[in-house]
Amino acid sequence: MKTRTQIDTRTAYIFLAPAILGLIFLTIIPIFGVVIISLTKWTGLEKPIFIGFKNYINLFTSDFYFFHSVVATLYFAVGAVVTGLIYSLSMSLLLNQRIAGLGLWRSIFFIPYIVPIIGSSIVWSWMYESNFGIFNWFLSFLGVNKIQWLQDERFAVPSLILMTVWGSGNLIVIFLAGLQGVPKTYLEAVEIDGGNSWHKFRHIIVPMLTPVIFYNFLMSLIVNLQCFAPVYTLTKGEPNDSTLFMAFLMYREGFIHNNFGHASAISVVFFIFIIILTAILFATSRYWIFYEGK
Amino acid sequence: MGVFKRLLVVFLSILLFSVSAFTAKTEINYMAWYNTTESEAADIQKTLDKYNSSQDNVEVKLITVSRADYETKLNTMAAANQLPDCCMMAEPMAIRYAAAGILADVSDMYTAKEAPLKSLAFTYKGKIVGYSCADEVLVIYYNKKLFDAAKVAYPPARADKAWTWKQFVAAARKLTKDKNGKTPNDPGFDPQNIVTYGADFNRLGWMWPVLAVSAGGGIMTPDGKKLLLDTPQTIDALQKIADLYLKDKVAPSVGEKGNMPSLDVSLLTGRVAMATSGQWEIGVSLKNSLKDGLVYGVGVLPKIKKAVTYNTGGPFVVFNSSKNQAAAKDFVKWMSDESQPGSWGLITGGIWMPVHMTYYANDSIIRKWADNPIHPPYAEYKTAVVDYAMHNAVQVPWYYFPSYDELDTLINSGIDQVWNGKLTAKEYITSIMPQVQKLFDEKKPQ
Repeated sequence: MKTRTQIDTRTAYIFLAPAILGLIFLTIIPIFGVVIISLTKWTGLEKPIFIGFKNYINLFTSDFYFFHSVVATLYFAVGAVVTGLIYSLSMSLLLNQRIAGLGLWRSIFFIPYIVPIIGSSIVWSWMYESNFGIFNWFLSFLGVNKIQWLQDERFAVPSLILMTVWGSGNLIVIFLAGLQGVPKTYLEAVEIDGGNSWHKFRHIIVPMLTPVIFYNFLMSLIVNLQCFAPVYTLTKGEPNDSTLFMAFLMYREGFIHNNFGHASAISVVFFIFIIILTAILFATSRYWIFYEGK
Repeated sequence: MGVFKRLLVVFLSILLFSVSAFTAKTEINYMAWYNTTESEAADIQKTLDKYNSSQDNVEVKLITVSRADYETKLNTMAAANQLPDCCMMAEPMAIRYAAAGILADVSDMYTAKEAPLKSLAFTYKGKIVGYSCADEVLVIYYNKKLFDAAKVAYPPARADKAWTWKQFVAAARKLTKDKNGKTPNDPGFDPQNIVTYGADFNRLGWMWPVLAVSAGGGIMTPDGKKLLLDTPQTIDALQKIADLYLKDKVAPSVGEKGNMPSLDVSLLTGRVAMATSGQWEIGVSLKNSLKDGLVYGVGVLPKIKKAVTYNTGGPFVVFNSSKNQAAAKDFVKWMSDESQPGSWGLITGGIWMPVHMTYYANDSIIRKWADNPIHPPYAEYKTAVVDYAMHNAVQVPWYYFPSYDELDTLINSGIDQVWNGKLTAKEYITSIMPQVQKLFDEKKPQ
């Protein structure tokens, strides 16, 4: 006769089964598949030919786009993450005040996160349009020369960063949740000691929020390193490969140029690259994250 | 039920199944793209319905994909061994697929007399693997009113009278106007505030080399065996096009060009006085502004040494994986037939040109498809487009070079540095040649 524990364990596995199966078939097996394909020369049109690590050697010694793409991706990711964190933290502080229509304001700032990325990319392309777009209209209103936002390699990446930051409503919500966890007694203690809002922010709010900042930083970094949709919709890696991010390079090599082996090698290297960055972030976290219990 | 009755039921079932299998139509899948809206798919389906109802042997099923996703979809289907029986293929993919042995040899589809124009044949190692669905060439379009106002002669409509590059630039300089009405020839001309650009020579990766071919260069030799990218003629041609913006101040920057509206609106609004593009613009773009007063002309491209244009056109192909190759070839042959309504509408509508010599045989035949309100004046169109295509066109290398799109991407990935003046054409080509040569050697037919 089965014990209560055995019955509970079996029930738990039954309920976990769909998620586990999904993880195995939709994540783990494809990862192994990509690693295997990366060891082959495969156009998708003929049978794959095993070539060992040649794809990786070519990637680091003779690929015309790889290193440029890494730099472009890092430029975008760091810019988007840092700007996004500053923006979302600032907005969450403002949205943590007692103001009329607070629920409406919070919704307004969250909506960009749930707007489909392709649709919003097209609207942003209209705003960036150099002859009729609203940004250049505003610049001409100020007497400034118009900018080729998406056609000038100096401005293409910052333009995509701005678009990405606009969509960081999820970070605002997470910061807001973190702000609710800041004990009011600490803030009152600052007031009693004669401190002002800056002192509260600098000495109480930021330290208390460091776990949340870490989480947002990590998630935002991983997501932004894999930026694809805005590039696919707006720039296709142009101008002058300034927006040729890794995800788009992988797609182009595999699905346009029929170099699945090479694209898979890029994917594996990128995967390891993200793991290394994540590991560095975790390793350094103990120096700057404050946990209240410790 | 007795044994005899059971046997009778089984026998009748087998008979019924055999008859239905015998009389059922052969099904084939045909894949095509739609450019802007899914309603185009409905138009393609109408064409297929006509084919399906015109005979009892073959039923064609349509698969439509947006043009933007077409290569991705087809490549994915190829990797999954789920290719359709036949399709319209994007030009750069054709020879790559042929090199992988995926495309059927269609040399037997036509007799010598009924075959499409030779210039439209995609060939790999002597075998024809597809014919373009239409004949398209590059020409120059211009706003006649702007030319009249500037008292500049129209671009020639005959290849033997084609402008030299010097004449082309001189005309463009007279047509370019800043916000004060000054031209680059006038003192005080403001290049930061140009309202009309005299000329826009299309800088698309596969289009700009046509000027290099005119100079005796190009990307590669017509047999696909040798690179010509680093020849002085090609470098000079590339620099000439860049100098239209950098030195002559008659062309928009790459950034400004990216923000320009369609060709018809650019000409109509006077943003551009003349621009090079493909024959298809007549039906795709220019006809839309005729009602708004656009009066445009068509001419031959300027030359450096030889009057030359490129011809192109996406091919209809049949896949070797098809279990019904004969039926697929028959359908593709029908699709290429100009007399079927789908094709004829596109031809008279100015989007396509015919692929068979019979439609170019004489004036009265050409007039049937080219002399209508959508096309430019017949006399001009006949010499600037039809004769030009017949006598002066050379194939874009994707007709015979595998993975030309990869080469194209590599050559043009950093070319903005030339267009913007960061590098000269010589510096840029010198910097990329080792990579280009390596890729060329890897991909060229052995």
